[in-house]
Amino acid sequence: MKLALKLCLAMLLPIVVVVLINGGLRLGREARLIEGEGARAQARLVRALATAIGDNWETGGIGFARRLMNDLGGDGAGLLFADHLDAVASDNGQRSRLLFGETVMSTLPGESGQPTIKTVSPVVVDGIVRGYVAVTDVLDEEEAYLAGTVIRSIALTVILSVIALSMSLLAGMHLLGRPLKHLVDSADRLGGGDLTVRVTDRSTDELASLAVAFNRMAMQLQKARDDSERDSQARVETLNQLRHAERLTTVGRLSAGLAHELGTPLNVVIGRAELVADGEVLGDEARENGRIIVEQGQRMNTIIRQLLEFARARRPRPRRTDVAAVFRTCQEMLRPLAKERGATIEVALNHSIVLEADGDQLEQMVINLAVNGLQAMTAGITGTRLVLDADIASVASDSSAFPVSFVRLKVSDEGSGIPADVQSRIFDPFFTTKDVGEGTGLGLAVIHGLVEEHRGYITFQTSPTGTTFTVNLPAQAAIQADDAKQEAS
Amino acid sequence: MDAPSRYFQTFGFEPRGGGTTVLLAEDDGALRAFLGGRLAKQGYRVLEAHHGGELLACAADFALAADPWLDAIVTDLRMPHASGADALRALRRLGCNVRVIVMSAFLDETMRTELLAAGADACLAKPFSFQELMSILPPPDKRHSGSP
Repeated sequence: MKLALKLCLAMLLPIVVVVLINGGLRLGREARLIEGEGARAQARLVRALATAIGDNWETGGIGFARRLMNDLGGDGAGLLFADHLDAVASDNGQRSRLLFGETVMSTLPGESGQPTIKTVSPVVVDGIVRGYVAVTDVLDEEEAYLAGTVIRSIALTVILSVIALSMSLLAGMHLLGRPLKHLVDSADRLGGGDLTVRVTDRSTDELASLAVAFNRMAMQLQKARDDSERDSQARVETLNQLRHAERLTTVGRLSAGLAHELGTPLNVVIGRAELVADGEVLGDEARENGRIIVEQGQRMNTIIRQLLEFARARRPRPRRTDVAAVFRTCQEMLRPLAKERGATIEVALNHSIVLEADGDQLEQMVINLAVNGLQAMTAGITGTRLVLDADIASVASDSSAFPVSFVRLKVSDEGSGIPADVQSRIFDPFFTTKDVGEGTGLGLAVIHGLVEEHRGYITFQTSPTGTTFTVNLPAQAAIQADDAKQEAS
Repeated sequence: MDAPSRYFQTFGFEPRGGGTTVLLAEDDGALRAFLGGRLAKQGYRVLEAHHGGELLACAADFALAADPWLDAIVTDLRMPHASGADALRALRRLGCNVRVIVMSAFLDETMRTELLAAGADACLAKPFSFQELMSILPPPDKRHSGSP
């Protein structure tokens, strides 16, 4: 639309200039023509009058000359007969030419501004100048005619301009504006992600070439997106297959561990139950066997529950979670165990750190780590402390695939540290250094799984005076997940 | 001082009854108590090792002793510090051919073959019945029957 207007104006401007120049030139020519015509007529009249007066000078003399002028209109018609030079000529050049018998014509600006032409001719009788005839014409009619011409020219120019402008606007809108708007709309839709958009233009002009180029671009974009979608789909499938394979391996390892964990108590249960069933034990002894069977059953139940928790580790349900609140909950829940161990639990974090994470799973991580820590601090040594702390760390990373901001949850104990030979195995399922019945070897494996589900990682520093486990959770990934959710909704 | 009593002193183990002597190595207290109790009731002298470390020490002590005071070793496979297989290999390397029975909750054919090749006399998959164990142990009164 704006472009069409600009084009119209650009076309119109030279037209108007040409029309105006042409008008001006014609006006000047006409003015000169009119002036020349007037002057020639005036000269003929003056000469005729001067000849008439000269011919009748013998009989009529100056009286005839004055009467003739009066009869023809006198001063009102611009006719004057003068017997001396000063009345008709204002400058010396004219005077001398008149004295020599020449006719003199001059153009004057008149009293009221209208141009005036004046012709003076001497009346010569027998070689003697007897007087002068002067005719003065005010060119007001000619002036009016010329003014009319100017007005007509201007009006014509304006009318032409308006017509040309509207025509070119209409044409511009039709030929430029509409196809351009269509192109712009299509480009907007394309930019908005609709890669199926195509421009239809049946003409053969440059805009049609643009449309063809646009369609080609859209097609290539669509193809590129389809390719990339196929690629990522393939990647996801490969990843899933790998995960499945990994899961199968894990299942294998788990079954071995499970068999070991359950086989032993089952042996006790079956053996003692046989004793009771066979009537080999009676009374108090039978009751004691029953008590042990129940105990072993509960032990197996615990193992199975933890195993299920590990196997069916549900997907994290991220929501805004305050780490400080999680720490306080854990502190409360662990107070009895800590008391039993003669230890205290301190929360060093004194402000809120909010991140998008599954609060229940954060709690589970912290509690598992804290229980390990408390168990690592040998019972009997009182005054030991378990410290829960958290901060935010920015990690410089070349790879954009990894978030650069992490929330770090730290659980520090004052235990005797992790021996070097077991450090590489502590995250394996069913690996434990604890006495039978105290741990199943799933705690750290569960935490490891949970941390990975949160796209984080877990590290530890250990020395003979204590161990710190650090759970690093991406702060940004959580926010991204939130964004994705908002986009989806 | 006979070998078993020296051993008891060193490791603080209590024998359970008299008769044929069996070293029971099992880290699970409940199973150890059950098996130990049943074996003692059947007339065995039972020594208990709480983990692989104690088993290894005891086995080495026995293998180097002039008097073969041990009749059988019943050991768990997976234990802290050392496994039943470690003890088995150590014994056989020292030329000791005492009867060794390995118990494990996770025994596949590969592992069973490996253990038998390493010199195990029998493998028991947990859970097993006490009768099964009895059937592969020497009778309880083999040596000490009739003696005070």
